[in-house]
Amino acid sequence: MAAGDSRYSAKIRAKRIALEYFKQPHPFRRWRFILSVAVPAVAALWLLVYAVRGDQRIYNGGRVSTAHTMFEKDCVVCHGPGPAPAATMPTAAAPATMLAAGVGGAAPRGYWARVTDNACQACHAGPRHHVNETFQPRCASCHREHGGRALLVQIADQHCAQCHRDLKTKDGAPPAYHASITALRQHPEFAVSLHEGDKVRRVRLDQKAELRDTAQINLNHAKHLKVNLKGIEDVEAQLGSAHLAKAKGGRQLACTFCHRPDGRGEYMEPVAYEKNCAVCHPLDFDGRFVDSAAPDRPAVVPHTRPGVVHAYLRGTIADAFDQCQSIPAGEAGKTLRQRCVDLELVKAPAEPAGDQPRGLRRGGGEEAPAPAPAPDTPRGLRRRSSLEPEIVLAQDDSPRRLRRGSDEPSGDAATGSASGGGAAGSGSAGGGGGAAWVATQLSTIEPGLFKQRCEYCHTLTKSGGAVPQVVPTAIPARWLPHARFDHAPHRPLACVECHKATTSTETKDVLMPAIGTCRDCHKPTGGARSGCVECHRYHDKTQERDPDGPFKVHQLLTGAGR
Amino acid sequence: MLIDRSHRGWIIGCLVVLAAATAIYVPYVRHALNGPSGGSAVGLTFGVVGFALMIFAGALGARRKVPTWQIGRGTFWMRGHIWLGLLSFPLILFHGGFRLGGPLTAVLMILFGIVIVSGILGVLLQQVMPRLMLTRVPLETVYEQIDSIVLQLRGESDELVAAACGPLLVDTPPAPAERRAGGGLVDRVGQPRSTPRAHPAPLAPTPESAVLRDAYLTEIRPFLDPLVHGNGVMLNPARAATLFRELRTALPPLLHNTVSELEATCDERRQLRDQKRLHHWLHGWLLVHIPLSLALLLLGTAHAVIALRY
Repeated sequence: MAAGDSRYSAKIRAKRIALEYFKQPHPFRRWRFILSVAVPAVAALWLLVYAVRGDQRIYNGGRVSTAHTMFEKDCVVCHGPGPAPAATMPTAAAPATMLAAGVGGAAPRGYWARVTDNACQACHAGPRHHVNETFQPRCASCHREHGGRALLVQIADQHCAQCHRDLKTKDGAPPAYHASITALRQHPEFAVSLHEGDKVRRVRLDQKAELRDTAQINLNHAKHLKVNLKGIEDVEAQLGSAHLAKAKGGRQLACTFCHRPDGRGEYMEPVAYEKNCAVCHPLDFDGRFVDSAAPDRPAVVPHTRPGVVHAYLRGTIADAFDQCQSIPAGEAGKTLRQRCVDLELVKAPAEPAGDQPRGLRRGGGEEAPAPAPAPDTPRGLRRRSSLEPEIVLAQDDSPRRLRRGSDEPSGDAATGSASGGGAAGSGSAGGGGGAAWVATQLSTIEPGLFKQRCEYCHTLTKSGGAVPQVVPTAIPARWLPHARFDHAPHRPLACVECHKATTSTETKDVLMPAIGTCRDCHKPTGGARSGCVECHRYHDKTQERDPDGPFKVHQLLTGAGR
Repeated sequence: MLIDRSHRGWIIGCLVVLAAATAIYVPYVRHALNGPSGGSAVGLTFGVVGFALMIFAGALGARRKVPTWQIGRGTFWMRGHIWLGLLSFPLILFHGGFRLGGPLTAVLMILFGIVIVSGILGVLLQQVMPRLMLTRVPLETVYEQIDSIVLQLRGESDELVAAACGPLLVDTPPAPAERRAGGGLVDRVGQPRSTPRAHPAPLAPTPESAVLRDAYLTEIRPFLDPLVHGNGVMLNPARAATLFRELRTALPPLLHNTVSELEATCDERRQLRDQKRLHHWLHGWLLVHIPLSLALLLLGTAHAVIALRY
């Protein structure tokens, strides 16, 4: 019967079909059944394996932040009640401004296990933003976990704008800060903190009339950045060319010669005389006095308080006097003898004129011509005053000692003639003469030192005593204390792009860049990041917990006992 | 199921719900401090509704397994399965904020995507394949019986050729003892025959019948195997027609009827082969759709339980 034959009807063809065919196994139905069992079984097995291993990572809504990676296997570490701060944290470690326990994050009840502030505060103090804030968000409302290996401190501006869109205070007082900021474009001009006596005043950079650096230091930035600055060869010879910059027509000091980044590269270390100034501005005072630790070098006073400088000067002069009382005989004492001759404590032997040391009084009572002072530079400090009285206390090497800490000669000095013999004049005369000589030298050298060295940069005041006082420099460590800045990412930029130092000739110039300078690069679209958290921190880090946490290692890793 | 006018209400309803969900989602995203999140009130609502629709879509399978459940008509469940299942996908996307999230949620989204795509493919195939089968397979039969029918066709053809050419000396497995429609295992007097084709009457063998025997054993009989492979002559209708034309030329008219019967049998075999292939297209997606749907519901339940806790 042909297929096209009308007699080969459906009824006829139906006879080919087994009545109970649906009860028999068939590949298609069988595979459908096998897969319908196997695929869910594999899925269940996947869950089971992780459950047996105690690993809950598969349930994470996303990867946790890098800092919390160690907790990602155990949800309860964070999604739990957390420890009671009082029970786990030493009292001293809990800052007074810490968020109150459980604020905004009620303890989980029953089946539900939300992240509570307590859980966060087990490790983080989370100091309060501001004592006068009207709204205190939960930790987790700003710091969103499971967003990948991101920084939890990268908070969107909207979080800040919750309050700063219309800033109010708890006590109703007008806010101390701009009342409405939602983005960088609305940010007012930066305000620097200026110290005026004990007071600190915030002055915006666009308030030109009031903007004045009140630091008590004399500095001319432009002069220091001059090309081929006088003495730059000496700097290179002593320190190398690491912080010298090539400029058109020669070399100049780089900004980093004085302004060195701190260990983290965020801020600049305070300028320190010893590191940044001493190479060009040594505090030498008289070439005839040498450093006791390195007798081949002239003595320089330490860069410290005037009282200490005074004591150092007096000690150095007295040392010189003492040394000149016991000059070794022969070749060994030649150098010392020459120095003593220079100091006019010992009479010079007759020598050829060409070998005369500097400052040595020549025979015949004529003063050797001293090197011409350079009054324009600190180095021009004269070696010796022409008004200095001539006091020759010793004509030989007889030992005498000057008592320290007093202008009176010591007993030994007083009886020096008896023990040592041969000294010019009597012992008492010698001791008294030594003190007088020291006093004379001191009174001659010290005013010049303070005038030509200290006052070259510092402001000195005379308050009755013999020694002047240095007015504290009060150079601000941070100009913008309400923000943070990291110089490290800005390294590609030349310093003078932001700090206009090349045109600054006076200390009163404030060289902080205006906000417009920042906005050149930091833009919401197509620029560097411009979020609030780029410059501001929510938590008061000065109130951060002491580095003595409450947990042991296994507690931290496993959450046991937390 | 054909998508026709009767689906209009479902389509409009789902579009309305989708528009409402979008109207909620867009401002929610714009104002959410931390962006969309499945854990927020809005995100959680999307998740709960979306998962409920997924469960409803999955209940279709359960209802089919228990046909005695008279909860709504089958068409209602199928329409609900199609449209609510489809609606659940954007709702779940809104729930997850168009992010894959963690490992489990990523697997869920991938599974869900495959399930939805396979379901859409299934619906599209349902629109095309039945019509295609109607035109290309007039002799359509029960899919599960195709192999059995092919064996029957081969047995009948063996008898036909043996009647014309003498014994074929081939191994013919015994027919399984099955009860078939229209009668029992044996013919009964006065009742219709249990097989659709009458047993052929033996013919006197002729020398030319050897051609038929050779052609049958080399080309035709292998084609009547349930597991026919390759691209033999009989797979191509034009080449098969040529073969049979040549047979008619070579064979005496007495055997032309036998050739015609064989040609019709081969045509039926070819249709059954087409039916099998079309059936695999028509229902093959279910091998993906159903197992993955079950896994999706299982993992989705685990996700819901854990996510609601944390």
